[in-house]
Formats: sequence, structure tokens, C-alpha cells
Amino acid sequence: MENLESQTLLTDLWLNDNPLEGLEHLEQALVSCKETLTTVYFQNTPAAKTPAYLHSMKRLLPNLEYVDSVVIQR
Amino acid sequence: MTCPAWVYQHAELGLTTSGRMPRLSKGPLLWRHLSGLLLQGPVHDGHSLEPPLDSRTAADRDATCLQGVGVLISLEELYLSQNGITAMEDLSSLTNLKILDLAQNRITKVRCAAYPSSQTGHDAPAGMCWTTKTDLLTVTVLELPSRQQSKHNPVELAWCGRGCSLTEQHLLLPQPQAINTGCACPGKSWYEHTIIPPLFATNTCSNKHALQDVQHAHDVLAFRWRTWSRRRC
Repeated sequence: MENLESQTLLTDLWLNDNPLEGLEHLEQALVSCKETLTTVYFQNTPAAKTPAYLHSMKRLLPNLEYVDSVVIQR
Repeated sequence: MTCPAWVYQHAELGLTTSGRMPRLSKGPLLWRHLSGLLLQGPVHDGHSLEPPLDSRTAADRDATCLQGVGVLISLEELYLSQNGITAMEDLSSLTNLKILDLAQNRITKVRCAAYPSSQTGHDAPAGMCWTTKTDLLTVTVLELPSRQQSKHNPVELAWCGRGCSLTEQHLLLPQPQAINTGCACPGKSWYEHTIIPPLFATNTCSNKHALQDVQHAHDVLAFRWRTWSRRRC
């Protein structure tokens, strides 16, 4: 999947249950919508099984409200 | 024929029997006004990474690339879960997208195509180096069947630039021949043009007026900013 970084209004991104290999490019890919994204789903992907996954999501997306249906407490 | 605001189809308009998504670009031009599209694949139990692909061949599974979504430039919500999609085409023309649901597919990577991670030439076209010195614009021209019929129709541009000052979301280039500096790539369904941005910067007013006449435009372009120099690596 390419050019996700062109999305500036994205609020919900569902990529769960995909064989995503890693999230190393995610920060750059979401740079344009990191302020608008409130809901992301990456559960059941290999990338979401890394220990730093949840912390990385919180750090990357300041307005995040839900990660994999889990409410984010700020 | 009125334009639907939404298309909601469950399974029926999902994967075709060949395992490929329907090519929306072959549909009527009203697709461009669509604000929501749900093409959900067959429902299956559990949360397996494997969509129900048993009825398809290995070749089909390898080639399930969604095509034609780029024409849906008004789309705000796109639901494509459970379709066995392995690759998505460039979404940069969907500038209004708010919800993107690609759950339970076969996507393996999220890549950054428009912006390199460094200025060292990463992902740059062959023979080009990324640089901030010169901003050029790359236009990806989708070769639609209608374009082959009439090559002199107005060209609509779906603006997807980032960090630009233009306020028009959709621009019309009055003289498409002015951008005809690119070269076609034989065997591909697209080719690219390189444009100097000021060509657009002075055209916003005329573009707005001309947009009214674009109802029958036959070419859909998606273009994106790239920064590279003209010099050869």
C-alpha cells in the first residue's frame, strides 16, 4: 500500500488481520494524518505483536482514542 | 442517471470469480462523485489472516490488486475488508478519505512512495536524485479506454499535493498539451508527466470556471509532489 501519506483527513484506519511485516514506515506514512487519526486497528498482524506496538501508536498519534478497540487513556 | 452517494454491496460486488476486484475505472463517470463505497468480501468466521480463498487459484491470490479506486475522488469512506487484496493502487487522489478499512486482506507492507525517507536518492526514478532544490510535479496519467477514443478532451487533475498553497482541490489544466513532456511507457496502463508547479499556481481562477465544463472529461489523472532535480545521478 503506497501513498498513505497523502491522506490528510483520515480518522479511521483499519489494517487488522493483514500479514503486515512491520511498522517501520508507518510513522512516515501517517505523517499527514497523525493529527486526525483517532482510531487504528492493527491487531492480528505480525507488526502488532512487537512489544513496543502500543507505545509506538500512542507516541505517533497524539489524538488517538482507540487502538484495536482499546480505549486510550491519556 | 443520478449519482449515488453511496454504494453498499456485501459480497456480491466483492471479488469476481477470477479473484480480482472489479475495475471501477471502467464504470460511469459518476463514480467520481461517490462519497462512500463498501465492497466487503465474503464473511467468514474467526480472525484468521487467511481470507476464504480456497475457491481461487494461487495465481489469483497473487494478483488481487485493487484497481480503479483512484477515480473515486470524492470518496470519504472506503470499506474493502475481506477481499484478499495484496496491493492497493495509489490512493493519493482520494483527498477526502476519512475512513479506510482494509482489514482481513493480504497487505504486507505500508510504503511511502511520494516522499523519500532521505534525500539520498531512495525511491527516486531511475536516473534521478531526490533533492529539495527543485520542486517538480509528477502527473500519473491513467490510460482509460475513453482517453484512447478522444485525446483532446479536457484533463481533470485530482490534486493531492501536500504542503502546497493551492486551494483548489480539483484543478483543470486548460491546455493539456502544455504538459505533454512526459513519455509513454509501452505496455503499462499509465505514464508520467513532469510539470513545473507555477504552471498551476496562476491557473486557479480559470480552473474554477473550467471545472463547470469538465462534466464529460474523460481523463482522470492523479498527481503527486515529488522533489527531484533534473540532473542525472
